[in-house]
Amino acid sequence: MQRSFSLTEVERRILQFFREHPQAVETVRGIATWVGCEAEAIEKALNGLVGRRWIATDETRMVRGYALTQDQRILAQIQETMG
Amino acid sequence: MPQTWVSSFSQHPSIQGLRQTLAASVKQPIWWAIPGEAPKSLDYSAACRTCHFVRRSSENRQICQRTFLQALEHSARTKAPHQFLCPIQRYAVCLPAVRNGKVEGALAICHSEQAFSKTDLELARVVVETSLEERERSLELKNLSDAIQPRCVALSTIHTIHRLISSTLDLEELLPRIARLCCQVLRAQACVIWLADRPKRLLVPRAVVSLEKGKDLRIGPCRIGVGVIGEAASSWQGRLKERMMVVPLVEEECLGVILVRRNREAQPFGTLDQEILSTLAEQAVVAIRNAQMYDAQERITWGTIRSLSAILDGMEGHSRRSASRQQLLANVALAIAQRMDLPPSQQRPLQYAALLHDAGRVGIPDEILRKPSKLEPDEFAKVKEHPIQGARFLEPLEVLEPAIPIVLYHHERYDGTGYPKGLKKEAIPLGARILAVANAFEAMISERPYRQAMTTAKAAREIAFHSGTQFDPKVVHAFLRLGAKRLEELALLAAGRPKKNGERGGS
Repeated sequence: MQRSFSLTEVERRILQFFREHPQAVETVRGIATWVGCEAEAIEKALNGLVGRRWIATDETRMVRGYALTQDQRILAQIQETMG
Repeated sequence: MPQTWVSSFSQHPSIQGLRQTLAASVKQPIWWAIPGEAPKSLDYSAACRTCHFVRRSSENRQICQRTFLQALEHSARTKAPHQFLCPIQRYAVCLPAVRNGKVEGALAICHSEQAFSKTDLELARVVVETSLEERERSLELKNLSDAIQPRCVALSTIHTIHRLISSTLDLEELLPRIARLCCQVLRAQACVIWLADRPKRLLVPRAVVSLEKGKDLRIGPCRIGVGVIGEAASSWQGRLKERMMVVPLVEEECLGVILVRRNREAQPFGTLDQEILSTLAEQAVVAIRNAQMYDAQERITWGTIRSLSAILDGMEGHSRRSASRQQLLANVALAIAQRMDLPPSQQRPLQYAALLHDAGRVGIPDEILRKPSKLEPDEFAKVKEHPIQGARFLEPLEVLEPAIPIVLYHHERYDGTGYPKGLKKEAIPLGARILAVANAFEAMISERPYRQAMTTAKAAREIAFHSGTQFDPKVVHAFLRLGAKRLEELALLAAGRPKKNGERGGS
């Protein structure tokens, strides 16, 4: 059985952005610009979403990029949660 | 963002100002912003707050609505303002909202005790016009935003990818990263990167990413000029198919080929996807070229240091460690550093120091170095100078700068009884503390004129015994965690087991 999650407003906005732009690879600052939230709130929400593996990351010592997962099972879960 | 003129009418600040001006002249007006050309009914919720007649009964509202709908129909037909008297003999006016000859609704004002003057009607017309203009402006802005935002996000993505790949100089890390990012940006299920082996006219697969569970791709080398991949490399032309795209990595020559693949359930690739992959390939070429140049530079440095080590070996004759023993020392030091999660920027100087740490022994007379018996105090004083001498020899080579403190302090002891400065604990550079353990281990498992070689197990026990006195306990812990099997492997590797391609004798 799939676990259901309740989302914060910032998490919802982030997921909405990535669902509209599934090909995007963005930094915290970039996402903050697109969704109109403070970078600090974005980073906190992203940590939660990365922990759930809804958002994937790629990082070097200089930069960390975030992107929507490509796992079909998780994408279905996101779809169900977001409605 | 308002999409009908009615939402502009009710939200836009400049229209609010116009409405206030008109309200001052009309007194207690009831405003109606009606969308559509021919409404069938009206919403009386706002009117009921001001007009006692419509508030009283639904029959009254029906009477009012009939009058109103007739007036609306009239103004829509004539496309002109239509003034009329309502059932309670108050004045009302309907102004059609016309854009490009099309009626999009109407503005109505009622409940006025006096007839609307020309000025009132002109003001009301300006309200309607401004509402329509605001709506147009909002729509234009939305269309512009809809058109620009995806491109801005794409540009920003390209910029993030550029940052991610341009800060990676290790090809083994870079190529899988590029493959992963290609899958992400193109929503592809697989990506393969081949790099050209020009002398053999081959394309060798260097990174394979497959997101399809349970489907590991088995990719082999391709001959340049043969097949889809080989032709892309020889013709410098990409290929676009429904489920597959191939793009060559071209600079002044073809460095390789990228392939991305989507599964059958996904949308087919289009020309925009090919454009995106080409852009990614252009960035990848620069990053790959940089990584290759960095790797070549590293190899030159490594070769130079090995040559230098061999020259020193020759100058010292048999008193110095053989090349294989130097290699063992470097391997063990590197293995400890990796076990301690030291970054590559600290691992390399450690390897260099491992090969050159005894460079200063060149200045010590042969009879002292080869003396089988215990050294006299003045002889030992000379031996104790070799780290300082060694550090001095290495100073002119800028690339060895981070290795100099390791060479200088590799004979310091954790308890402060070592030389040349008698440094204690963390005051001794970490690289020097690691080299001290590796150096002692290598010395113990090597045969000497005056003693037999120890087994790796016994040497490890001996090092553990001196943890906290001669050696840093953290380094000893990492060393012991390597295990006897790994230490045996490192010894074998140093003894001349054929090295793998690209291996620098370290890990």
